[in-house]
Amino acid sequence: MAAEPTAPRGGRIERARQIESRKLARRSFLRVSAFAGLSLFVGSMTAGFLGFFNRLKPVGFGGVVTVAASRVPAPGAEPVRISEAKAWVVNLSGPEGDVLGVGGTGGIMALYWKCPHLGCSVPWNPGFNGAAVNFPGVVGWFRCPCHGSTYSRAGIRVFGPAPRPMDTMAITVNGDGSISVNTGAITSGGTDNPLRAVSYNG
Amino acid sequence: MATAVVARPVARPQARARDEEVLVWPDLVFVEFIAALLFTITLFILSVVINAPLLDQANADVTPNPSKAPWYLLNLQELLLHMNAAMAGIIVPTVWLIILGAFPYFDRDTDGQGAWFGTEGAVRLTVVSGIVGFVGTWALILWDSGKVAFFLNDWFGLSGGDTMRFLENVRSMQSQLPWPEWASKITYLPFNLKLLDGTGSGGPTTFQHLDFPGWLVEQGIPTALLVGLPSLMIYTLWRMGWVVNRRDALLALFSGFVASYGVLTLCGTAFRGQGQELVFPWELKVSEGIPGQEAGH
Repeated sequence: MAAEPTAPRGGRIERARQIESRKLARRSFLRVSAFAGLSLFVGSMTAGFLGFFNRLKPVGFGGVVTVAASRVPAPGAEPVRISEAKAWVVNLSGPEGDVLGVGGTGGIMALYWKCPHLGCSVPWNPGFNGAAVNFPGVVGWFRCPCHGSTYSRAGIRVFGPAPRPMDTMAITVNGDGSISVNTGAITSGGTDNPLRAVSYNG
Repeated sequence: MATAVVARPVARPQARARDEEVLVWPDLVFVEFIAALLFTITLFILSVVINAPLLDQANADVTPNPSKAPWYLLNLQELLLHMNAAMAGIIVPTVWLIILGAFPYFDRDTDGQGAWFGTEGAVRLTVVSGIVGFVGTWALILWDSGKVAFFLNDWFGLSGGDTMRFLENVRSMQSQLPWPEWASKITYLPFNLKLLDGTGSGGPTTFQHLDFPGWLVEQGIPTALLVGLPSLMIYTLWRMGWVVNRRDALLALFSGFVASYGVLTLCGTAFRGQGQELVFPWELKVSEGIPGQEAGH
């Protein structure tokens, strides 16, 4: 009585066991995939976060930005806006922009466009001559849209609440006439800004 | 309990007379309904008449020119044009709010409390200090934006020449006076101590050195004017015999403040054009700051 129905019952038990093991397989599949998804999510977040600390080879702003020779302004021409470097490239002709007379002799310089006051991006205003009394004949100034700090072509602060002249970026002139602006090497602006200009014959 | 309770006659509140009462319905709710209707209609008309576009999606690379805070903060932004950022944005408002809160502790006279213009010279004090605040604030704004020197030169041909250039605005006292080299690097920590002075690129003061011309222009002169001019006004009014008690002094101070505050808000809202240049309201144009479209003159 106990032996005869073993085979069919064993088949049912076996089937049930298989069904049961399939259920278990589904549950562990869900568990594994849930943890895999979670670790993928956390891992990608971590990788993205660690990416912020990559200061070895930054690209774009923070790294070295090359400005082609065709975009470099001629001496005395209007400053050129280099968006990818967040900078104005200025080509001073002679003592231009050296409004406080520290002995600038011209050359090319890159001015970080962030206002040293509260950080607005400073536009070039080619027609502005509002400093006519103190600096007669000088037309064209950088003038901050937020609080009116006014800077000469060489970034010298002459007016407004900014605590110092515009910050400068290190630049090197390449053989083909292009320039490399190192947007990671920003020096606080000072009255010696015009002396930081690099001579350029491109 | 053997305690004797002495029943005292309790003063029962008198029922209010019917004609002193105002009912919520209809008296109050009806008035509120009318007010709500008026406001709705006014806002509807304003929204039809005045254009308030949302503009394009913001671009972090460009800043609209001029860049302005909401109108009710433009008084502070106007202050920011003239002095150190921490002073204009934090210290001056905080100190003034504390002073405002201290008014009732300074004027503890209960006589005439709650009455408008309760003292003898109150009306003329309000008018005069309001005018002083209005005119004085405009005069200071015009001076610090270089307009006084510009108009003297433009209209009357007056020029101070090179020697007087430092008077054009506050900042020119730093840039146009022959400050000696050491004045911008006054060491005030002894023994060559270095605290938080790694870069030497701070504001007017790094922790070790004081840039005296910078300090004078950004903090010294503004503080002196903010404290000195109201004090001078109240002192003058006191010597004239108009201010006789503390309430008069506070009245003059507060009226002057309201006028200055109004001028700062008005100037920041309607008279500041591109680059925060002083312009007339009808000349005010806003550029979205897109490269190549920044308006020159």
